[in-house]
Amino acid sequence: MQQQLTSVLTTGLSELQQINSLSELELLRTRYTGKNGVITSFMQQLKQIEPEQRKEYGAQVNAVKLEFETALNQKKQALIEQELVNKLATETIDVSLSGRGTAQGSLHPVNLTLNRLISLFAQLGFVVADGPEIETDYYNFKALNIPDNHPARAMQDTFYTQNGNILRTHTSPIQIRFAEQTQPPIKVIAPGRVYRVDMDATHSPMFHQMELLWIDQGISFANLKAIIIDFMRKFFEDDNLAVRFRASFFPFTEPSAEIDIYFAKTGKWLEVGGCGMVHPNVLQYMNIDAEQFSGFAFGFGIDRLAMLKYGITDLRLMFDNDLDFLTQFKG
Amino acid sequence: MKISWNHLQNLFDDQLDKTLVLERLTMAGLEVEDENPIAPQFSGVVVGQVVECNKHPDADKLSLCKVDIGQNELLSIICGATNVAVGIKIPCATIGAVLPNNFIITERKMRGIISYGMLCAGDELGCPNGVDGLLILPADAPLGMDIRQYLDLDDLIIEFKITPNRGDCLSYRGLAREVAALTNYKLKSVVNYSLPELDASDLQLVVEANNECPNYAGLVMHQINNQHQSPLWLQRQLERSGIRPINPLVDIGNYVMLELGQPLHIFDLNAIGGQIKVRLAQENEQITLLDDKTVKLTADSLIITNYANQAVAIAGVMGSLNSGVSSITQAIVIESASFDPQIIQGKAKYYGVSSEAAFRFERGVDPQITKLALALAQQLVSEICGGQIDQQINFTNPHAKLFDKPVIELTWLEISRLIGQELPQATITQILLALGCQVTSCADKLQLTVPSYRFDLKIKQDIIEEIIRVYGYDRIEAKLPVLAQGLNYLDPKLTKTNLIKQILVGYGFSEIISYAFIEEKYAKLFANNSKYLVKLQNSIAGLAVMRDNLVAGLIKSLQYNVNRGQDSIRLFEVARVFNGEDIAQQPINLAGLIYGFNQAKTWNMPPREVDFYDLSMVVQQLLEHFGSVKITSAQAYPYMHPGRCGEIHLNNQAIGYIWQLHPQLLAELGLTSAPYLFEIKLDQLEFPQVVKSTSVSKFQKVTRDLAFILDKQIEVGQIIQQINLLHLTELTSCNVFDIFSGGNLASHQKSVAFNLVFQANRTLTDEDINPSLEQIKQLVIENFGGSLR
Repeated sequence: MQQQLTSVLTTGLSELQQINSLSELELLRTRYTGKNGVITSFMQQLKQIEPEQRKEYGAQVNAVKLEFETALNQKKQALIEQELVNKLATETIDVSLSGRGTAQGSLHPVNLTLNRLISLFAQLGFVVADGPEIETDYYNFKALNIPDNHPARAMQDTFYTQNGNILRTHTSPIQIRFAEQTQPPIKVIAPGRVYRVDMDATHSPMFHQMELLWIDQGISFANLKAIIIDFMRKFFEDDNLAVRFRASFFPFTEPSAEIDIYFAKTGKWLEVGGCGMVHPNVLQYMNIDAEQFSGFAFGFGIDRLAMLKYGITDLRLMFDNDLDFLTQFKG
Repeated sequence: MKISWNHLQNLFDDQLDKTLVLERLTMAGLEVEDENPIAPQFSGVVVGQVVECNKHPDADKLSLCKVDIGQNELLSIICGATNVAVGIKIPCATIGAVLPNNFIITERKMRGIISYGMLCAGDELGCPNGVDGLLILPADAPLGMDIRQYLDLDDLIIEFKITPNRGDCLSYRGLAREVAALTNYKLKSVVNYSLPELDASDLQLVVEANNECPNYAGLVMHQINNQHQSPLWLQRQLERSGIRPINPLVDIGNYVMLELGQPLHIFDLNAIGGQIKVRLAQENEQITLLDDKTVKLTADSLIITNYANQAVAIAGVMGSLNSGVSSITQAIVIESASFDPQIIQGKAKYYGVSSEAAFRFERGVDPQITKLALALAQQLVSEICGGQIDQQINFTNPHAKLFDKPVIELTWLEISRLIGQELPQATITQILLALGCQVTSCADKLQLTVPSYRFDLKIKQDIIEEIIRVYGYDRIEAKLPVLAQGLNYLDPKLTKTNLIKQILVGYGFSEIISYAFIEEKYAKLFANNSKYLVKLQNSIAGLAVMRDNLVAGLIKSLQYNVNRGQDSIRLFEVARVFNGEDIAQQPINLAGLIYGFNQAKTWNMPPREVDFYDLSMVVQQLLEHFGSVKITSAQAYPYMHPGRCGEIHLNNQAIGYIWQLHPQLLAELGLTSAPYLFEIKLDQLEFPQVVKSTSVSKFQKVTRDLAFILDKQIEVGQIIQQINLLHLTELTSCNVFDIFSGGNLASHQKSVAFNLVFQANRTLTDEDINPSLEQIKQLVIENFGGSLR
C-alpha cells in the first residue's frame, strides 16, 4: 500500500511536470485529487484498513495528497504567470511610433516675448495699458513735444490716413492717454503695433514697440539706469550683460539716451532702445506738476528683442507667418 | 554728416587720439555711424610726367613711355592706356611699389621690352574717379611727390549721425568745438577773417521781415572769373563731405557752410539790380527754383526779392533759376544771413526740394557768424575767381527773438535730484564753461547764459543733460528706486487673452501676426463695410487700406502656407480692426481658420478633411469660459458660404460669425479646398462673476434616448436651446448622438436622436423621469413639427 502510494505520487508529480496549460492541469487535478481521483481513492479505502493502522494510513495518504496539491498549486501559479507573460508579449506595441491626432499649435515669437516682458515688469508692479493705432497728431506728436514741421518729425516717416490722422509711429501716445486718466505714481507699460514708412530686411512698415513709464516723486536718471540694466540682464538671462547709455535726443525726454548692449560673440555694441527723463513739456500735457514729480520713459522694439532672444536674422520672417517658422517657438 | 578726419585734425595743434575722440563723441550723442579710409593701402606711387611716348614695335595697343619722376634718370615704362600722351602728369608706380590687393610692381618684360614701373588709373589705386584710363593730375603737381601725400589719401571719412537738436554740429567748426569740450584738446585759435570797411552802397537793402530775418549781410563783387574748376583741395574737401563740386562760386559757398555752419547764397548781380528786399511772400506768388521747378509760395514763406520785387530766393531754402551764378557770371552778391528756424522749418519739404541750407537753418544757425562767413567767402572768391570787393550791405535787428538768450537758473539740488547723484560743483561749472556757457554761481544755485549757437538749450533739464552728457552717462551710478506699494489686481484683459490663446494652441492653432493694412484687392473681397474703410494717403507696397476684419490676413497666410506645401493648417490672430478712426471704432478681434486635413499624415489612420463642426467645437469650448454659447444660421457677408454660416451668440449677444469661405472665391485665391473661419469681437468677452460651486450628486445618472423625425430646415441648436429653457431640474445634459437622412425617410426629413442624462440627489425612477420626457416630446412635436420615431 505504502509502495503503491509512493508510486502514485511519483507518477503524478512527473505527469505534473509535463503539463503546459491550465486546462490540462485541471484534468490532472481531477484525475488525482478529484472525487474519483487516484489519490482520493486511497482515502476511500480507509474504511477497509485495520482500525489500528487507520491513523497512520490516513496520515500517509494525507501527506501524499498535500504534497501533490502543493506541487499542483505551484505549477498552477507558474502557468498563470506564464500565460500573462505570453499575453503581454502578444500585446506589445512599438512605443517609439509617434502619437496620432492634432498636434498643438504655437504662439507667435513676438507675443511670447511680450509675455516675458509683461511678466518681468509685473514683478515691479507695472500695469499694461493700451491705445488706438490710428492716432491724432496731438497724441502722437504734439503732446510728446514734437511740434509741426519740427525736424524731429523727419526722424519717423509717418503714414497718414485720408482724413489726416496718422498710424501711430510709436507707443508713446499711450503714455499720454494713460496719464490723462491717472495721477502719479504712474507705473505703466504700453506694448503695441506701430507703423513707419519703411520696408527692407531690417525694417517692416508695421512692427511692435513697448514703452515703459514711471513717474513719481524723486525718480532720477540713476533710477532709469538701474531699472533698464536690471531688465536687460533678466530678459537676456545674463547677469553680466554689459549695458551702456549713450547720449541722444528724443523730443519727449530730457536728458535722453540710447541703450546699447554688448555682444561678446561679435564684440560689438548693439542699440536696443531709447530712454530718458520725461520732458517737462510732456508732463505738462499730462497735467502733472513737473516741480513735484519726475519720471522716466523707456522704449524699444519687441520684434528686435525677440530676434535677439531667438536668433532670428530677418525681420520679414516675423510677418510671413510661415508655419515651419512659427511652430518652432514653444515658449 | 560726413567729414574728413584730417581736416578736423587741422583745427587742432595737438595730434588727436582718433579712437578716444570718436568714442567720446559717440557717447556724448554725436554717434559715429561709419568710418572709411579714402583709399586702400598701397605704397611706392609718385607723381610722374610722361616726357616721351612711342608705339611699342610689337604691340599695337601698348605705348613705350619715358617718365620723369623728378630723379636724374627717366623711367622706361610700357603703358596700355589710351589716354597716355606726352606732357601729362600721372601717378607712377615704381619698382617695388605695392598696389592694393598686394600687387607688387617688378621689372616686367612685355613683348620683348622691359617696363620699369606702371602708370596708374584711379581704380588701380582704389580711388575710382569714373574716368577710363590714367588718372591725369594737375600740371602743377610736384614731380616725385608721393601720391598719397599729394592727394591726401591717408584720410578717413567719418560719418556722424547728428540728432535734430544739434544743428550746431553740422560744420567742422561745430564738431571741433564739441571735441574740445569733451576732451582736453585745445582748438587752434580761430583766424578772424575780416572785411574792409566800405562806403555806403548803391545796392539798397530792405528787411521788412525783421524778426524772421534779424541779420542780413551782403557783399557785392565784380570782375569775377567763374569759368574754370575749383582747385583740387577745394573739390576734395567738398567730395569728402559728400557734396559734388560744381563751379568755384557754388563750391566756395558750400565750403564756407561746411567749415563754419553758415549757409551762404550767391546771386548773380544782374538778376538783383539795385535792391534786395527780405519779406514774406504773397500767397500764390510764384518762383522758379534752381532745380527748374516752379512753385506757388505760401504767405508764411520768407523770400528775397530783387529790384523788381520779384522773388529771387526762398530765404534759407533755395534760390531762383534766373538769379543763380553760372560759368559766365561776372558780378555777384554774396548773402550771409540769419533766419529764424521757425520760418524755415518744413519749407524744404513743402516745396519738395532738398536743401543743405534749409537743413541747417531749420535746426538753427549761429547768428553771430554772418560777417565771419562773409569774410571767409570773400577771401576765397578773391583767391580763386579774382574779383574786386565793391559794396557791402548790412542789417541787424538786435531785438529779434533769435538773439534772445534767456538766463537759465537752477539749483544744485535740482541737478542732483534729477541725476540721482551729487556731482562736485566745480566739475559742473567746468563742464558748462567748456561748452561755452557764461556761468555765475553761488552756494545754492547757478545762473547761466548759453552760447549763441546752442538753440537746443532752453530749460533746466537741457542743462542737466549737458552736464551728465559731458561728465559721462556711464559714470552715473545706477540706483534702484525704492519700491513701496502693494500688489496690483490681475489684468482681466490679459488673463482673458492668454487663456484664449492657450486654448487655441492646444487645439493646434498657430498664432500669426499680419499687417493691419491690406491691398485694395483684398479689401474688395473681404471688407465688411466698404463705406467706413480707412484708407491711407501714403502707402507702401500697395498696402493702402486698413482692415476692418482679420480675414484677409488669415487668408494671405493660408495662401502662403499652402504654396509651401502645408496641407493641415490652423491659424489665428488677435488684432485691432478699423471701422473708422475714432478710438471706439478700433476694437480688438479674434479670428481663426482651419484648412485641409485634421492632422498630419500618420500611420494606420487616414486623415480626413476638416469641416465646419471641427471649428465650431473649438469656438464653443473657447466661449464656454465666458458664458452660454449658441450658433444660429445667418447670411452675413458675400465672402461666406450662404448655407454654411453661423452667427455666434454669447449670453444671447451676437459677437461674431463662423463660416466656410464662399466656394466661388477658391479659384481666385488659388485654393483647392475651402477653409473654415471664425471671427469674434474680443472686447465683448468678459469673465463671468465667480459663482459658488454646487455640490456633486453621488447618485447614479439615468440616461434616456429619444429620436424624432424632423424637417431638414429645423436647426437642432434651437431645439436644444428650448429644451434647456424648460428648466427641467433633473436634466443635466442633452446631446445629439445621431443624425440620419435617406432610407425610408422623405427627402425633406431627417432623424435626430437625442441622448438625455438625468441626475438628482436621490435614485431616480421612471416615474421621476417620465414627466420630463413627455415635456420634451411635446415640445419637439408642437414647436418643431417633429414626430417620435
